[in-house]
Amino acid sequence: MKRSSKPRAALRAGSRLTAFALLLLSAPLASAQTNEGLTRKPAPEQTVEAGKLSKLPKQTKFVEAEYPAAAAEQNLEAEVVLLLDIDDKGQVTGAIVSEPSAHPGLGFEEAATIAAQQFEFEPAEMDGKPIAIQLAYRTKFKLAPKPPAVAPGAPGSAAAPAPAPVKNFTGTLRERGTRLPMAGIVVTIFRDVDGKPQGFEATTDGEGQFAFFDLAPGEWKIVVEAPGFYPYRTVELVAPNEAVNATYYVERGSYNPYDVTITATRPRKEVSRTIIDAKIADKIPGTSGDPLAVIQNFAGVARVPIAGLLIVRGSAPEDSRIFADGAEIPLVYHFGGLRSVFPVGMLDNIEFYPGNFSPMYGRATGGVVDVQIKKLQPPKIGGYADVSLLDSGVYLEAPVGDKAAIAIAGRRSYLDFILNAAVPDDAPVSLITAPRYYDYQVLANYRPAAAHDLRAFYFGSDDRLKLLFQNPGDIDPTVAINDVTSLTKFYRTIFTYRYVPNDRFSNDFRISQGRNRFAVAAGPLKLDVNLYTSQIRDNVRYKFGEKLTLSTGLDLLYTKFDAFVRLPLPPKEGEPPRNFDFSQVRTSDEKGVNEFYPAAFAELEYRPVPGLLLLPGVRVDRFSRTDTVVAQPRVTARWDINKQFVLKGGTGLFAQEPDIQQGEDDNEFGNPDLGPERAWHHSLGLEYKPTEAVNLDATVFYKDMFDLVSKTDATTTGSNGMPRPLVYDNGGTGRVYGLEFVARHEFTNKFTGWLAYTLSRAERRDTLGTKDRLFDFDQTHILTGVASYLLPRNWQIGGRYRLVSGNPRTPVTGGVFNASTDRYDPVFGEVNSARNPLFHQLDVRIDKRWVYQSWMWGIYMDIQNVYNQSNSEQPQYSFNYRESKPTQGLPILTILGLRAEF
Amino acid sequence: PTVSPSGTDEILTVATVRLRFSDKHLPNVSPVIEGLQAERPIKDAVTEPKTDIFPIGVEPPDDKFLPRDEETVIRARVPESSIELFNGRNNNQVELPIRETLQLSWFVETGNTQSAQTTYYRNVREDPMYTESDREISKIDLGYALDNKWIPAKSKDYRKNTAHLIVIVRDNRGGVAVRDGFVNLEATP
Repeated sequence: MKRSSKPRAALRAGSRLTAFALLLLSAPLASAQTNEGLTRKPAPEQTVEAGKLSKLPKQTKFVEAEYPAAAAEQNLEAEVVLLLDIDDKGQVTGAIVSEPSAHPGLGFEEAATIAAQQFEFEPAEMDGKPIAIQLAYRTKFKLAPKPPAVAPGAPGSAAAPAPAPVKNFTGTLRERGTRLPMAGIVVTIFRDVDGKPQGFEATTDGEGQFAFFDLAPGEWKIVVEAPGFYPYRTVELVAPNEAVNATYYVERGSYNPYDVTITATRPRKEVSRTIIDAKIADKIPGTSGDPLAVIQNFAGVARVPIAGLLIVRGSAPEDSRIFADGAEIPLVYHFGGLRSVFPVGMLDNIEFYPGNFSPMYGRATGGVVDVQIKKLQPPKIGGYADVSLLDSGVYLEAPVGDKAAIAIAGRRSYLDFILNAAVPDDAPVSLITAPRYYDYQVLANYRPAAAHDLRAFYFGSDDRLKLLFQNPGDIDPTVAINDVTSLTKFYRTIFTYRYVPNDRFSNDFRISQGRNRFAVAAGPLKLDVNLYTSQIRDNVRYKFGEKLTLSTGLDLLYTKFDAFVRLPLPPKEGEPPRNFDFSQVRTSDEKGVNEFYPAAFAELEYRPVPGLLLLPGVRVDRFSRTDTVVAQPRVTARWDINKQFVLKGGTGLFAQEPDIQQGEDDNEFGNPDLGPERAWHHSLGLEYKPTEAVNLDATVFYKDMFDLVSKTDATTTGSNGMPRPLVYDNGGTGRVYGLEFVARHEFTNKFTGWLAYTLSRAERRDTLGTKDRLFDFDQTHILTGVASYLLPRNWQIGGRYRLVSGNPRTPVTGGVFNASTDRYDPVFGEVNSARNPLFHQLDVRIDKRWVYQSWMWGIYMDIQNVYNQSNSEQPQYSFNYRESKPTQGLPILTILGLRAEF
Repeated sequence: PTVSPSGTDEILTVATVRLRFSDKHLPNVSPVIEGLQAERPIKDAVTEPKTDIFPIGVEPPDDKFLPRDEETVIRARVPESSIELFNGRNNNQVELPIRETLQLSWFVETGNTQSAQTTYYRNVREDPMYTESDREISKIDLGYALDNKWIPAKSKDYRKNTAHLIVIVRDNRGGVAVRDGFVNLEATP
């Protein structure tokens, strides 16, 4: 096979100088990396992987290198690799030869260097800030095809000038399924001429286009062998005086999310932080295809019988907060965990902090989940449609010019249709509105310049349920209830403006506005909260030097709500499940309650010596309902002992307000004089990275909780001057201590997974208690193993295994007949003195994807509780509580889903 | 307890007092159970399903037996007149004439009943969340509350040939009625 060649005079038009980046090296932040055999002496600065860049550099000006005349005369072709220094403005400030050509002395290196110095780029970015980088740039000098030889003696052969080359075969290479152009790929065409092979090569440009010149008419075979793709072969017929234009779709070896993910995660500063890419989380077994359900598999998170509750390091669900891009949201799950309110297409990653989190987060004494919304940079119009047994959804994204992009998504469940059709007419329950949910999202990004990044995100969710019971006695015999309704809806609009003029200063401004509506009614019982919320966050970060950086900001939250409550006192954590005392129904009706929660925070990043990072900080919150200002000092430290070991630790104070109802300024419900609940978090850990792909992390923690809201039998004087029960006080205390161990294998060799183990004990002491008791969700051992493996032909298989101690429970020691209700009432033993059986469950997930020319679709099967373990939660008692039997937990369950992408 | 300036203890008690006999309230009449019944499908019915209904009283009929370890419908005959109209409050605490609620408690000497208690509650929601059709659906028939299902235990767990059934009905204004009866049980299983 030989390469086409052409006289020097035609080179400027016909030569194809193909250049593409081999690797990205950030500088001055980065030292050199090696790739494809390239090496360079490492610089002393910090190394950053190219994949961590939030934006790759994009070439905006290309200057063609002049083909060296001497080389052209000798029909010599060559490749030269340059290392280009590109500054944070995108200008080439330096170019040196990294790999000289195979024909030194002919001028290839000089020509490539002169041309490269005239290149211009859009700068690369890290965390949205333009940075200087070093780029390996390969320049290929290729001679254009020679015109077909003219037979000696042919008419006019002696005097006619050489004809201009004619492109008679052009084409485009695109990735099958995604339609993305494939750049820098060699396309080979060949055929046999008189028993001898004849062939040519061309390399695709940035748009995936290639061209051949002056091909002789006839049949040509085409071969494309791109790394990571299946070989592509076809045949084209080139007719005389006609040009062929073809588009080829080449299939990837595997369409897994991991090799296309570019995320810019913040550098590690916290003692404990788990980050998982949303597309990886999307494939975790046992999550029914929901990326946010992966949180339950992290270390420090307790298993809950009803998905959706978040129990972090022995803290109650209301002690943890959930944020979307830093803005607080009321929930992330529909109907207690059926499905999260965000589709995977909108998500970038999920960050989880089980404790000792940064001062930028507050109003929580437990943990924090921050759902990071995608940084929209779609290369084309694309999206997907998702269909499962629960719901269907669509996601669409599109670029808008060079500087903007938009994405929209929506989802609706159809459980209501299915259940209403499936429930027989004579069933004791009528589903007027079966569980029904929908959610919607609109995301827009606009980047007028590298230093400015504007984003608008509007999203919301709506859940409704209406049930009618034919026998109200099954709900409760003492009150006339035969229906239950619930409504949960919210929306948020978040505007974000990120300004990064240089690598020393950045400002993140975020304003959000929204509404939460939560209503539950059962007969005369009713809870209806309608809350409007506005939040402003501004976070300024300034780098004083290599050793000192300051992050500081404001977090202003304003709420206005109406709340109507007609309920008995709800049970507190630690109280055994018993029937409501309907004789104690209390009513509260508040309208237009304004609350303002300003907070300020500051955190220093101090690096006194190389490898040591100290993060002293403070957050000051003003809690409106309790009219209290709480300063919360926090400090964490990380010491990179060497490349493999990191020692880390932290301590800090965290505070939050009591629930609305507990701090109710009302004569019936709560104690308006309650103060904030507080907790000290202490943790110490060691990270070990034996290989690039494996991380081991062990952390011991101790959480000291005090001023916890607890029920009391004390009395006080009400606003009407009459004595009334105090109901609650801040007399509760608690402590949680334990060890978390995580072994994580990043995605390499087609495998990813982790093993998380938590050994812990969570205790509480109530105001009326005389000794410590176990927390309702105390789980001594929590072991979770997750593994996922990519198989050929776009198959993927994964498994999750969980082994968890049973939850504590308060045993029933007998029953007493209640003559007023004609029922037995249970007699309880010591609070949480018994424990449910050990929980263990295996979940398996299988994914398969089929790839077509311009779209692809996949199917997944998520089999939960593969070996059908009973996993009893609470025993079921006989009518008089003298006998009991274990209940059956979730049986084996298979969930199927389909997703079509284009 | 508080201490008054004179040094004596003073104990205050707060309780909600319900005035049962306001002028505008109608006096309550206790509900009535006219009888108890059992209903069994006739196994040898040729053309169409038929049921055999027989009373449950102090003396069970000699030729009627309840099967063990099988469901049998049991019924309390309560006339609709037992559901009195009175001046009360609906779910939104609005005063208006409303129907009484009935609660039936079922006690059996052997085995289990489908529900320990059944309730009649005429619910007409005024919440905006409810449509007119919802309100129509929510008018539950009294019959749901008057029927239950009884599964007597097997002979190895309950050797006697008869079993006692007691039904108590209460309305939500303090009215109560009790009725009991006996049934013969099949010898096996």
